Amino acid sequence: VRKGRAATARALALAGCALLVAGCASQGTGADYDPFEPANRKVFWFNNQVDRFVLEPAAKGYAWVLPDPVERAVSRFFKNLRFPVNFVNCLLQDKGNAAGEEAARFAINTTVGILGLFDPASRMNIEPHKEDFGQSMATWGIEPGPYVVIPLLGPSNVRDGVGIVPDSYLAIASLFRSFEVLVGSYVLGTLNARAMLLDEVDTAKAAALDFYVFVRNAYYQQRVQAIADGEVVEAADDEYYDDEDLYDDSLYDDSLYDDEPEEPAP
Amino acid sequence: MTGLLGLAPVALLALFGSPQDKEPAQTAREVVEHTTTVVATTLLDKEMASEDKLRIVQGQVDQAVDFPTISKLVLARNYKKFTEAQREEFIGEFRRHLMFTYWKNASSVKFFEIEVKGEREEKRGDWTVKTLVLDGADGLKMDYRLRLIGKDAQNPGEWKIIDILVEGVSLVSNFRSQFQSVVSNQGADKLLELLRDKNAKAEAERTKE
Repeated sequence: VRKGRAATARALALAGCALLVAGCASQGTGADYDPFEPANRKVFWFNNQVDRFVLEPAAKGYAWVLPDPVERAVSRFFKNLRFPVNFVNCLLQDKGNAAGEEAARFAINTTVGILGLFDPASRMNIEPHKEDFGQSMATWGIEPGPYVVIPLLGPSNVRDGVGIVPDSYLAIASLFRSFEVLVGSYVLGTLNARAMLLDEVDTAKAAALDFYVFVRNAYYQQRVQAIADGEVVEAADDEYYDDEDLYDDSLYDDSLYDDEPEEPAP
Repeated sequence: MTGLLGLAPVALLALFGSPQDKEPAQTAREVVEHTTTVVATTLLDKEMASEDKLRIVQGQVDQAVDFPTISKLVLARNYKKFTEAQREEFIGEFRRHLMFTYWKNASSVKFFEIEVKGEREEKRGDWTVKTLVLDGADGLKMDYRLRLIGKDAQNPGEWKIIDILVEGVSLVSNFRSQFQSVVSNQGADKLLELLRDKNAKAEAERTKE
């Protein structure tokens, strides 16, 4: 009985999420749609400080101790645990073949690949399909809505942020009811992922004139790609490739930039 | 001698061939293949001094990449707000900025291979060449968007790189968002100032090494 109630509660929560998203996401689109920019920048700053003073130093130590092949094995281990998330979201998006491939990958990599530490399935040309609930909602026609920076989790938008909730129920880690195991696996996964990106983040910070906008735009473009599943999509803002349109003011939404002016950089 | 004579028809064609029939010297794919091959061999050369590597890579990039067009695309309508002098300065500083940042990253790589994975035509006659950079792990998808530049009645034009997409993220789109934000909040002068400062810092750091 208790299980049934929990299931009903989850279904209701899901329905609530969908409504919330549909409501919030009904207007505005584009890489720079960020009506909460002042608040987002504060959270971004906070996340960045956590990264600078906690995560990055820890990841540097981690990367120094562990050789790259081990990092990659840990990364594959966590990717393998995402199987239920990928599988269910493939089904939600009506991608039967992809769901089948995900199931085959999980079976092969968990056994032959020793708990997912290795990826023999890819060598057999069974391709991964990284799908999440945000992408599922996108295929149902739900717009991303405003950009949101979530404390500790980073860049997102209203739709994808809400999608994290059902996905977190699906992840295999949630089968372990022990709080320590959950936290431990989250910390290890995060540390490992950050350790593999040490150089990339350095480059990004060096390349960016406004790191906040850099991340916001990159997140937007990556989501567009993920939703299209590597199919050819128009570049996120294809019309801007046109020299003749460059000066067409109607293509630009000034209201996006009308928020209070920023403090000049020190 | 016969080798040289063999070239004669080509030279004659070059002199008298009708310009309409002329194809660019290299296809978009060949431009990408040639440039990435030379850059990769140079970077991986263990004997060559760092300064020489930088010189060769810069030469290749300047040949293959159309910085004036990229500058127009990233500035978008802000291009209008810039004076002619500001535009010139922007093209130079932005080129320097891209060179410095990516040089720092590329020169530290110890091993990689580049494979051309495919190509496709885009709107407006642009051409995208898809490559995969293999570094022992999953590999990095890098797509190059090229445009036929300088084609007119006399010239067949040349394919030049006007955007690079790393894992689907377009550099032009990303910088456009950033520059739009800086220019609308702080003005065109501030953008140039930021670029100048970044470059001066990067230059100082590079010569220190």
